[in-house]
Amino acid sequence: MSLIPKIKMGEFSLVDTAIITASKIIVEKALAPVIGNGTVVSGVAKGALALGIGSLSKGTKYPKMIATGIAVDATEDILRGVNPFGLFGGATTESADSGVMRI
Amino acid sequence: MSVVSNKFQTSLGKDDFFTADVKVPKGIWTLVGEYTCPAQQEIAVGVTEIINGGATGMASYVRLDDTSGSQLKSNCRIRIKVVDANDQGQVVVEFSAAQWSASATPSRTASLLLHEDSRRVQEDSKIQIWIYATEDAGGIDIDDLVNDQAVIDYSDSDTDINLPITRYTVTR
Repeated sequence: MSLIPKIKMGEFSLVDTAIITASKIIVEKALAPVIGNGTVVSGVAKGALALGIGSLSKGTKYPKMIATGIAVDATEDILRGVNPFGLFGGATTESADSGVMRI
Repeated sequence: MSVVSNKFQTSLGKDDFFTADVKVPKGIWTLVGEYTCPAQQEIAVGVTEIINGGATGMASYVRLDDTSGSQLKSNCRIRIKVVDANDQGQVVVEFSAAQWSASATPSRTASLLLHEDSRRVQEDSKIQIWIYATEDAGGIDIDDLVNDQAVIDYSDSDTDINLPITRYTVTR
């Protein structure tokens, strides 16, 4: 078990990536009803939150991981919101009528 | 992925469904007629309109008269189905008495108001009208008719259908 924290994937250990991912998923779900998701506005709001947590963490490890997760989600929102060259799909009427059943 | 390029609110008439008399035996669901969705279109039964700020359905009208001149109504039932091109899948999107409207024409106060349905037919799929007539089909005693069946009189000017639909043009 003591090996697991030492396994590195790129820059981060397995535990670090788990914390980053968990923070992304949880924050994304928790904030969606308040600031939305996948838009530039929600991305900017999450970016501000990530900046705040990051600056308050004063270099301690886990708050930094959590801030990283939120920052990833923030940039995802901004990229999906801006959707340069339609790279990230969506943004068609198809998504707007997802409740439609075709026969 | 299909992308909707345009949306039209229109309606289908009796000529879109049938162009000749239709025999209706008693006690059996009978296909009155069907409309096939053209290429690069999607069609939903019903139209949702905004009137005075509120969303409401568009007035529909179905009247089917027997060749004897009587109307198939109170004891008849009508189903509107959407069916795929191979008859493998179908959904009943509307179920009602045969006489939908108490007025002579589609009327907002007397007709069945049909909102746009969430189920759309695609190219080659069909919108079908089915009728079920009991022995006493609202004034017509089907047992008294030839071969125990009513015959929907296509040429009777009273026989009429006005089914509001929302038509989408799509590209794939």
